[in-house]
Amino acid sequence: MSTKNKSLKNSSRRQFLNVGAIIFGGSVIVGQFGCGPIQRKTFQYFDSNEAPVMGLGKFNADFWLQILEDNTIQLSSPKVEMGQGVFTGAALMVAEELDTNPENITVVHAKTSSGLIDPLGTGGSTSTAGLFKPVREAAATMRLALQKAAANIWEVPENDILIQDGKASYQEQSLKFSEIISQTSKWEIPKKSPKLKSHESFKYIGKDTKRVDLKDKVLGKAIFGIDHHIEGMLYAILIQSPYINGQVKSVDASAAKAVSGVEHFINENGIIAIVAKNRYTAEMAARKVKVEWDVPKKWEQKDLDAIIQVGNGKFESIQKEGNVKKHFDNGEIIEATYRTPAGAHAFMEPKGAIADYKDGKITIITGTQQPNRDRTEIAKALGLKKDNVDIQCAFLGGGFGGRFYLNQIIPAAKLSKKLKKPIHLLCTREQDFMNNYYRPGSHHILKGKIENGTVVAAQHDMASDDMVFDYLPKIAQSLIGADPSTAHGAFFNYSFENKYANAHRVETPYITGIWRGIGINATSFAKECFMDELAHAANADAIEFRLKHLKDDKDERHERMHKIIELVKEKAGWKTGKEKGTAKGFACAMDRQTVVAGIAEVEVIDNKIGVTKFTLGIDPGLIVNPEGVRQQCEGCIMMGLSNTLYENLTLKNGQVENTNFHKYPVAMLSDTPEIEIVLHSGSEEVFGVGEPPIAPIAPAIANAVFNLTGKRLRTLPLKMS
Amino acid sequence: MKISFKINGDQKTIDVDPNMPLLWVVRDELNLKATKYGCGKGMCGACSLHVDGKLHRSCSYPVKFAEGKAITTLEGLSKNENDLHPVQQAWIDENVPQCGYCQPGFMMAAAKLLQEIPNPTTEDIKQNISNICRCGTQPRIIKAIKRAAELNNAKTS
Ligand code: FES
Ligand code: FES
Repeated sequence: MSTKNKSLKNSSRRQFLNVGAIIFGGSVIVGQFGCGPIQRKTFQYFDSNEAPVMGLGKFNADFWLQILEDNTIQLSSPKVEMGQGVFTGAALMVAEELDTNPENITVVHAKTSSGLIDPLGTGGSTSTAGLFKPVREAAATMRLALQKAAANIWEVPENDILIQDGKASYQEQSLKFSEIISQTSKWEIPKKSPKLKSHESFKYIGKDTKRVDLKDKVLGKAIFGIDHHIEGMLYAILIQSPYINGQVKSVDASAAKAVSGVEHFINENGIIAIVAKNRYTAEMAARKVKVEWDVPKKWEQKDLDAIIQVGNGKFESIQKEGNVKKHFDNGEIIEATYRTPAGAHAFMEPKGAIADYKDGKITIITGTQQPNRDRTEIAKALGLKKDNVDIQCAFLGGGFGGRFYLNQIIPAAKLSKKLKKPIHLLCTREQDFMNNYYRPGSHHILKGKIENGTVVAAQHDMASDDMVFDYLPKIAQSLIGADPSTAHGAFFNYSFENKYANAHRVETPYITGIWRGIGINATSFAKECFMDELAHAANADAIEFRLKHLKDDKDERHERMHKIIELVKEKAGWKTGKEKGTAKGFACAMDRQTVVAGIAEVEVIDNKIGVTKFTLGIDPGLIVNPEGVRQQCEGCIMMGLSNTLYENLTLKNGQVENTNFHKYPVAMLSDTPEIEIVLHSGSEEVFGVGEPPIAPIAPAIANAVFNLTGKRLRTLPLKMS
Repeated sequence: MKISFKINGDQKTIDVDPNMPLLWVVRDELNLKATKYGCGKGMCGACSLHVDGKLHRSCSYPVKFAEGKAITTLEGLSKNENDLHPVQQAWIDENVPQCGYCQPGFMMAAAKLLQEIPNPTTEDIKQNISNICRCGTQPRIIKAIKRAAELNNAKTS
């Protein structure tokens, strides 16, 4: 790259920073200290707003655009690409404001050394929405700067210059962006935020666009964290306890050390590792390390189930409208209990990292959802200044909330520092299952009362462990009360007059964390199956019954929900009865501002549930790339189906029982239903897409099973016997 | 032990433990990174490649068995980028990948399936490929394999 190119990059970057920085709604809670009602309000604010639930505070989107010598426009993204398509969405935003075909735009991961400051990380279905304004503003600023520079070259008024398709033109003359750059030494960059294109005039945003990373991923050129290769790199494997909370009593590594090719055996400061010249040797030697473990308690699954019970743990009221108690004092109450299991992320790329320590600085190459936090952690662990830690993100082989906290980056960094060698540390699949954090299991009690076909009162009590609480600032903990991720979606969005929702925060012995859809997986399964039970008790059609309870004028999502339900119902040809050995089931959900509805069609053969078709409708507000939204919906249907029918992380004899995929079956090609996706845009704002569509999957399937067999299955994974 | 084989058309000789899984040989000794580690136990298919035209899960294939054979990884599936293998072309046409990690294994399995069953039905595809994709690209993989079959037919007709 020429120095001149650099000068556009640098001068622009400062400027883009100013226009690029945005602040999410975190500031809304400042100054609200307090007691129950405020906690509830704050919790509900988080639950229904696009403010990311994962972090509080400012979001400084520190990204910038560069024009490369071949006239390609390169965006360094502060959000990571884990399959969700954020690179493609961001490319469309740049394309739009520079009026240039997205094919001329490349997107790469920003590195922390070159200014990525993204305290929120990538997740919570916030990436595309979060980038929507700042990326367009950055690109629009670049457009104005290029226009001005071209005007100076030709000495004509800047307003007469057209910026389009990678070039500036004036009458017969034209210059490529890269040519303008080589002829410009001083850049004039507008101080004010530029005017953005109106939504009506969008040329690229809203059009089906294939992924920008498509070709690399099909040709096998896409590089994931553990694919990096550094000369002289050694391969490390950690020795970790197969027991929950197991502590080392004694270690005998004599046999392991004797394996030819083993370069080091490390046992210090809590890190036990084999370091070898290749992966195979490391793995073989690691198997020979004999460790005696001190296990404080050998947990069994039934111990956990006994903890995860409504009534245990810390009680937090998160919704209290009207007077449910009064209604429950007499008359018939419908009550049901639901359970969901713990879950593993089980992404196809096991966790891993490459660390390279040299001259007081360290580079970490890894797939992470939270590079900024990783940098802080590494700096702390190694006693380095943050500036001397560079986190370089690679493509993630799946994220799903599982790469927010990487338990292997610190050992990798420490090993590299100690041995003064680049270290490749990759978890075995067994470690990825057994030494990780998990989506917590949950227990739900739902109660409802119907009068004249209308729900007059409902209550949802949910017991589960936390997902993000430990990572929130103390002040936020006291403000919110319940874990905003675990209890996400726990309260009722239906227009019931009297409704309560309570969270019971229990503690399980392993680390729990977020998983695609966070709490909405569990809450929506329990609530939407229960809603079906209420509809059945009221002798009403499942869909009509819901529409009747979506009548809140103050909640604009209700109107959008009516629309999406109508579209899905028509697309799926909704019928309540059985047809040719199949039956349909319905569920809908609101995940912050996104509304979704789904209809599952199922069959049961030899006691095995199969999903033959799934119709999913989504209104995620303004749609940046319909093709990208469809991919996310398909992904949610498959992952939701997997979670509904198979996934179940359990403990036995103090260990996670699910050691590999044979013990943690997931959905396969053979489970693939016919899929129909209905997209509708009911707002000018961009809302989340990556997680909301998972909400209706499990309840729609369970409700369909009831309609087919008359059996109400209230525990995930669903089993006929 | 010295072991010689052809990989993507190139003759190679390497000196490694004969029991080293072909997966690590391909990835770390030969620096061909498209073949992935997923489970290490032959269960997920992320490491699929072809040895003498047969589909193998390379995490469970000791390199000694490759002596004198011809290996193809995803990097060698197409002649070149302008003349893509029908499977890779179909994968682009259907915009299949999400995170992309499992895709090389699926494409290698799909290429083999089409040799055995040139015009597979949805059921044939579902029953004959047992790779795992966690992102949920299965619906597109089914479409892409059918599309690849069409591309193949168009080529040969
Ligand atoms: S890594 Fe070989 S089958 Fe999973
Ligand atoms: S595309 Fe991510 S695992 Fe298949």
